[in-house]
Amino acid sequence: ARDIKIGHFGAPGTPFDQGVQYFAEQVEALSDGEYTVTNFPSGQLGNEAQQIGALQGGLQEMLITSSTNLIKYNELFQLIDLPFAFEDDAATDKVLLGDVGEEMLAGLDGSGMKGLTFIDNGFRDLSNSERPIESLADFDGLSFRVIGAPVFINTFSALGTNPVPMPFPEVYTALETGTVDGQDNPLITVRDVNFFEVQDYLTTSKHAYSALVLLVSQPFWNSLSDEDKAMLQDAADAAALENRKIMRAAVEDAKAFLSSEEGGMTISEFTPEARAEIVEAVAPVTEELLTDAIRPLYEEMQSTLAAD
Amino acid sequence: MTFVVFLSVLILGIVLGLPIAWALIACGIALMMHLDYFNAQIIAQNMILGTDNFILLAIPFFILAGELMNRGGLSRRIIEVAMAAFGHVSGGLGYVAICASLIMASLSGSAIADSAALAAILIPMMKLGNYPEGSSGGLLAAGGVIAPVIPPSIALVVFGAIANVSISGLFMAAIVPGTLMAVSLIIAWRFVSRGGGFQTLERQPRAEVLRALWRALPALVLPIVVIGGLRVGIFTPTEAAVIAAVYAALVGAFVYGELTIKSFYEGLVEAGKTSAVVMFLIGTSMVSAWLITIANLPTQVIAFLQPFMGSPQLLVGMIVVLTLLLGMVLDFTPLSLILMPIVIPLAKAAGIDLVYFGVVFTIAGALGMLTPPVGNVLNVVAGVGKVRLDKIMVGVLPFLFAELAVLGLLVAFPVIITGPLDLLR
Amino acid sequence: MPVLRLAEKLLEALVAALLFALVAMVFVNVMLRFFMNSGIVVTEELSRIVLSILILSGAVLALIQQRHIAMTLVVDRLPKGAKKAVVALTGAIMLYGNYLLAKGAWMQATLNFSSSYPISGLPMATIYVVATLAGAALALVVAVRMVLILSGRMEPETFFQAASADIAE
Ligand code: NA
Ligand code: NA
Repeated sequence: ARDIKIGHFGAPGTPFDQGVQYFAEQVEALSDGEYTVTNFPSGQLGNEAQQIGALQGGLQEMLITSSTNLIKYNELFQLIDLPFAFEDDAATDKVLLGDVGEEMLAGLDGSGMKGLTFIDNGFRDLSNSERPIESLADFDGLSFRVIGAPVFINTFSALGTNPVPMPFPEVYTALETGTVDGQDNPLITVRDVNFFEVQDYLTTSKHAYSALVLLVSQPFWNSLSDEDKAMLQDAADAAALENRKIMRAAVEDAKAFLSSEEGGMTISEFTPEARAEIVEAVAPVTEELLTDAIRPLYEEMQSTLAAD
Repeated sequence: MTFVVFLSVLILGIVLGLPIAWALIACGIALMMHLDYFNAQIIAQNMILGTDNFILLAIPFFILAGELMNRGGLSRRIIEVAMAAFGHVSGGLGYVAICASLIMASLSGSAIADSAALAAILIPMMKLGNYPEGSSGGLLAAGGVIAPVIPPSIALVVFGAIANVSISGLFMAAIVPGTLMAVSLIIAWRFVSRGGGFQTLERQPRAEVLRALWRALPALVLPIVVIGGLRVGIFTPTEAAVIAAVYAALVGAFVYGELTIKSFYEGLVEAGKTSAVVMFLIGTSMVSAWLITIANLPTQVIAFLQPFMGSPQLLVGMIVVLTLLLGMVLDFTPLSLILMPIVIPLAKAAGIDLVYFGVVFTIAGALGMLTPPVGNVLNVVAGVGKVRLDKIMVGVLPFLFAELAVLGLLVAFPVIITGPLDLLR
Repeated sequence: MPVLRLAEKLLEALVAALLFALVAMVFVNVMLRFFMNSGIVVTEELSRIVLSILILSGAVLALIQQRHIAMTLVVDRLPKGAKKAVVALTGAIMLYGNYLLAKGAWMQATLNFSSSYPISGLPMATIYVVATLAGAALALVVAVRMVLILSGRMEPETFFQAASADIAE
C-alpha cells in the first residue's frame, strides 16, 4: 500500500478533523486498501509555509490550508476573501463547488500544487471587548487583530478601525491585556481557543468567508495513474460534502455555547440597513483589489450568485 | 528503530566534536537514509522555515537587551544593589538569579529568551564573584525553564487550544507549581552554595544599600516598564522584548552615559551572532523532528501506553516519564507538537482533569530543555554566557533533580494543583 | 588573509544592520499603535524575512569566528594524529550537510521564483536564495580550514568550535 501524508491545522477530534478522517476512510475504501492515509493534525508537519514547500517539493502528499495563504500562488483566490462576498452557506457552495470554484482551482497550475476541492471552515465573525457592534459607527477607533493579508488590512481600515497584523499564537494574550480590542475568526475558533473568555461582544457579521483548499503535491499527483487520480478526486468530493455537514452543525453548537451562560457573550447582528451601510463602506476595497486578471471570474461569480 | 538511529548518530556526532547544529543535520541525513526518504529539501526547508516565526523574534531582542544592559552599565548597577543587600550571604547572587528568573517568567513565555537574557546579564557578574561557572549556568538554565510554566505561557495556550480547555484556567493552575519550582531551586542552591568558595563581602551599612538602590533606580524600572506595559496591553510579549532593548539603550546612553556608538555597534554584532547560533540550532532540530513525525513514532507510543489506561495516576506518571525521555532528544516545541495530540485523548479517556494534566505535561516538557544531549536552554546559556557546555551539563544536575522532585510531588499529589484551583474557581 | 578579514567585517556590519532594522521596525510599530492608533502593516511579514537572513548570515559569521556550540571534551584529549583524522571525518560530514542545505534551498528557490510575499511584494524565493549562498559560504569556511589543517599549515584544534570562555573573550 502507498501512504499519503495529509497535514492540516485542526486539532485532533474536532469537527474539522472528523472531516479529514472521513476523507482517509474514503480513500482507503475506494482504493480497496491500495492507498492508506496518515493524518497529521495540529500543524504537526510544520507551519503553513513549511507544508506548502513540502508539497511543492514532493516531500508531503496532501495538505488542507486556507485559500488566503495560496493567493500568492493564485490570484483568483483573492475573490473568496473579498468583504461580504457571500451571504450564506448556500451561496458559498454554489460558487466554490461549481464551475467558478473549478476555475479557481485550475489557477493553481504551475504552482507545484493541485487543488482537489474546497473545504468549509465557516464564516468569519467579529468579536471585541469594548461594545456591541451593530452599525458602521460602532467600529470607529477600535483596533482589530487581522490576518496579514492586504484584503483584511484594507477592509478593517475602511471600517474605521486600526488593523493590527499579528501571529495567531499571540492573539489570546493580546485580547486579554487589551493590546488589541477585537479579532475576527469563525465562531468555532472563538469557542475552541477560548477567545470568549477575554471577549464580551460577538457580532455575527459574516464579513468574510473562510475557505480552505484540499491540496495534492503536484510531483505526487503526476506519479498517479488516471484511475488513481479519479479515485482521489472522488474521495475529495465526498469529503467536501461530509465536511460541510459536520462543520455547519458545529457552528450552530458553537453559537449556542457562546451565547449561553458559560460562553457569556452578547451576540449582535446587523440589521439589513446597517449591513447595507457597512457593505457600501468597504466597497472600495473590492474595487481596488479587482485587477484585470481576476475581474472576469468576479463577474462570473456575481452572475452565478444572482442565478437561482 | 528510528529512535535508536537518531539517538546514536546524535551522540556519536557530539562526541566527535561536531557542532551540535551539524550533529543534528547528520541525524537528519541518517534518518532520511533509514526511512528511505532522501531529499535535500527536507533539510533546507525545515531548517529555514522552522525559525520563520514572528514570536521567535523575542530571542534576539532579549539577547540584545542583555548586551545593552551590560554595556550601558545597567546590569552592573542592579548587581551592585544585590551585592550590597545580599553580598554578605554566601551565594547571594544565586538567590538574585532565582528571583530574576521568576520576574522574567512573568514577563515572557519563552524559556530560551528568558535564560538568554538572564545569562547575558548575570553570568558575567557571577564570574566576577568567583562563582563556579557550571553551577551558575546550571542555575540560570533551571530558572529559565520556569518561563513556560508561569503565565504568560505559549505552551499552555497551545495545550488549551488542542485539549479544548480554558486557557485562563491553565494559567491560574500553573502559578503554584511554577512558584514551587523556584522554591525548589532556592533549596538546591542552599546545598550547592554551602561549600562556599564565593566571594562574600562585608555587610554594608543601610545608607550604602540605599545609595546603590538610588543609582540603580533607572535600571530597576526596566522590569516595571516591561511588566506594566504587558499587563495594561501596550505591547505583546514579543514587543516587550524590543521595548526592553530600547529602554536599556536609552538609559545606558543618556542616563549613565556609558553606552557609546561604538559599544552599541559591538552589542548589535554580538547579539546578532549569538541569536544566529541559537536559532540556527533550533532550525536544525526541526529537521529531525519532522522526520520523526513522519516515521509515525506517535502510533507506537499509543500502543505502548494502552496497558496503563486503568489507573489515571499511573498513566500520568508514565506519560511524564515518556515526555522526559523524549525530552532528552527533542526540544519543547517539536515535543509538544508531536506528543500533545497523542496524550491528550488518552488523558481524556482515562478521566484525568485536563487542566491538571496540562500543567504537569508542560513542566515535564520544559524540563526536557535541561536534559542532555539536546537541551536548547543549556545550549543557550552556554552560548550566551560563554560557559563550556559540559560544565553546565554537570552544574545543572542538582537543580534538575530539585525540579524533578517538584514534578514527582505533582504527580503523587494532584491536590497541589487542583486544591488552589478549586478555591479560585 | 586580508580577504577573509574583510568578509568578516562586512558580515559583522550586515548582522548589526539587520538586527538594528528589526528593532527599529518593531519599536516604531509599538509607538505608532500607542500614540497614533495606527501601524505599519508590513512589519510582521518583513521582520520574519529579516530574521531568517540574520540567522543565516550570523551562522556563517559564527562559523568563521568559531562560536558555534560544540562539546570538545573528548577530542581535546586525543593525540594529534587522531585529531587530524577526526577533522577529516567531521569536516566531511559538515561539508556534506552544508551541500545538502545549499542544494535543498536552491531546489525550493526555483519553485518560488514566480511568487511573492503578499504585503511586501518581495519574491518568496528571497530567503531560499540567501540560504543557498549561506550553505555555500559555510561549506567554503569548512573546506578552507580542512585544507589548511590536513596540509599541516594549521593546528588541528583550531578546527573545533566551542563556546568556551577562552575563545569568546
Ligand atoms: Na511565562
Ligand atoms: Na533535552
